[in-house]
Amino acid sequence: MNTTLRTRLMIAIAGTIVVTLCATEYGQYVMIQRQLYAEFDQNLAARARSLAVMIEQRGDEVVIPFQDFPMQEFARSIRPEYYQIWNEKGAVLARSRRLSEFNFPQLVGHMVAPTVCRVTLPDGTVGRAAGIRFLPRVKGESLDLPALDQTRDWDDHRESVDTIDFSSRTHVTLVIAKDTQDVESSLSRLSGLLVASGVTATAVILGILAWLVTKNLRPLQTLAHQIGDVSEQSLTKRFLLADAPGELQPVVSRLNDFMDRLESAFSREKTFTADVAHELRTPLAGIRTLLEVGLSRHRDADSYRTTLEKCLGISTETEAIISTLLSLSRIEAGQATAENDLVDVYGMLHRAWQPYAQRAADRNLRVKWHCDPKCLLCTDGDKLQVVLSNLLDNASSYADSGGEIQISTDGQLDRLEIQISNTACEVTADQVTHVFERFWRADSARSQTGTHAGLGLALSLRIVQFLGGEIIASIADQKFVMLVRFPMPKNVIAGENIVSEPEPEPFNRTDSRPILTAGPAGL
Amino acid sequence: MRVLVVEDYQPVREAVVQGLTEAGFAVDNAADGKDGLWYATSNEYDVIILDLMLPGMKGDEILKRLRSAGSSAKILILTAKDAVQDRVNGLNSGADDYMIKPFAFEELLARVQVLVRRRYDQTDPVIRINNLQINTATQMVSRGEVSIDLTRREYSLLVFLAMRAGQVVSRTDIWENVYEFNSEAYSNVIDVYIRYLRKKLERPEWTALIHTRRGFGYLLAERDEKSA
Repeated sequence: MNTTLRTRLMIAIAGTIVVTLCATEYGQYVMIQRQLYAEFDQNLAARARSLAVMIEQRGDEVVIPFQDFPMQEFARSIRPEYYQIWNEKGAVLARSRRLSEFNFPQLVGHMVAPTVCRVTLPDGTVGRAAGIRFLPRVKGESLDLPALDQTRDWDDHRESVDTIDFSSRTHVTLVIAKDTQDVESSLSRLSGLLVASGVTATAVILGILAWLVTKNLRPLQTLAHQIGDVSEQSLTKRFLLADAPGELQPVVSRLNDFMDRLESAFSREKTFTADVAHELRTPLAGIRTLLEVGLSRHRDADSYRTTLEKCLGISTETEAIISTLLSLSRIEAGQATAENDLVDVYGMLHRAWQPYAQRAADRNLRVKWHCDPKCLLCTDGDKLQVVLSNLLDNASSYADSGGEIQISTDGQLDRLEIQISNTACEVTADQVTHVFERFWRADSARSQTGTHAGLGLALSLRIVQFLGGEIIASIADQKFVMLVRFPMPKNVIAGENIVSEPEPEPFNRTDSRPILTAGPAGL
Repeated sequence: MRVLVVEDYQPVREAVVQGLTEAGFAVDNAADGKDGLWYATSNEYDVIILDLMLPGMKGDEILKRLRSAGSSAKILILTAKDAVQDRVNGLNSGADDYMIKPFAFEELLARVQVLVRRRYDQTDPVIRINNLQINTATQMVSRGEVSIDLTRREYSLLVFLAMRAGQVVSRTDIWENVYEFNSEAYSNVIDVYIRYLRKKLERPEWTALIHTRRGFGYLLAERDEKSA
């Protein structure tokens, strides 16, 4: 079940407050209850002691003065007090009239600390009883009682009076009982008061809490509304929370960062879509116009053949663009696979150069080779061929007329570097940062549409990364330099001719050929 | 009528040039922006078909420079940029028309012809002078009920003269507007084609329409004002 943060906070905080409040009030109630009963018991004990001192021992007879002249407390019909007195043998000497035949338990407490317990009274109500076992006063004995807080025993006190005959004196047990209705009433009122105050306090606290939670969660709601208003058309908007608490500021900041990335991604996507549309519209326009013009009048067979050949050429170019786009998509979607071929890098460079050699000659380009003819690399040969073809195609197309192309390899123990550079006076450092973007060309116009769609370097970058290498574009000495670097994992054995030590002169070796291994990144 | 096509994509450029040429236009072409601007400022064109995304110099820059220089050529933008804002920007920059690739060549031809008529304040595609009728839409020429077959060059020359009916046009004007920039010049080629036209357009029972102004050029008119 989905609950709002506001509800969760309310439940958690309110629950904590209510439990704490209940516990506190219950604690107060218990303390007061104990205090009231303690006071009640204390009064009952005092009452028992005061009755005890009224009882006299006259010879074998125990005189209970309040038996024949009952005190009002024992005689009243409403909420009377009760007493019951036993002799040493357990025979009942006296009991209050209201007690009738009812018997209390004999509570044989000490005079200083009477035994008190909860009892059921003859009328069925609940009360408490205090009982003491004592030696009754003998006639002539002082009524002075030792202080209750003295440790000296009452009986010891009596025995110290040696002028009186105590020989016939026997123990008497007195129990006095009284209902606790007053205490119960007080406790009932107290509990009602505590419940009422607790409910009121809880309601007030909940109200304040709801207001506070709502107020403090308002920035979150504002943020939620702002997020809800974001659409594809409003990606330039940014979240703004002027009164946001400190905890929300990082969230807002991250959200705005996320929006930056989202806007950038959408922008790239739109540009890409527009570029794709343009790249496909233009050759489509070529095919359509060629066919329409060709069909606009009767022509000889050669004219039709020429038109069809042009259309076929455009279709082939368009197919190449689409294939490149698909290759890019497959690599970016993680659907590409890599073979593990032993590639003769020198041979592959020469084969890749062949289609562009004539173009280079037509443009009076000088080509310098600084390659190790014995350098081998374990990687996907077909994919590496695509990369090298793209780089050489670009170099032969964009080198300054009459300029120079330099192709070199540098094999080390831990890496292989392939470098293709060409003179390019007009390429700027700023442009170099964009060369790997899809459909990017140094000239923003779609020059040479169909032959250079601006996809080659983007594809090369993805392929090299997929093979576990890196490709770096730079400008040095008015030359545009593309460096492809494949690292070799140290623990990979790729054949018999593993080089164990770095070659001091990679271009002049005649001994064993280095084998470098490159595989898909992450494999 | 003379048209310049500035388009970097070779197949489109060649097809448009061929189609317009076959429709009777004298067509020059340029593959990049700088060449296009040079052609446009070096010659007088009735219509310039201009791509926007060109190497060397963008089409909108060429457009601005031509309008700043006071060029009266009608300019039709032919581009793959299809956004409304692109079209608005192009037309606001001084273009007379805007077409998006891919396009129907028939439509492009019709629009070019409309621009040509607009340049010479012609609203009717049929030019009528006496009993001569030139349908610029169908390229059909007739005098009275008689249909007249003309070659592409003869048709171009006749339309050029008809668009300036009543005005004396020099041989240089004819050369610059009827022939492509790279055409090989002959000293008397204009006179030869005028003779061909007269031969096809004039009969004893019809009013002579093509008049020679010695030392000045030629005049297409119902009456030779000087003779009158």
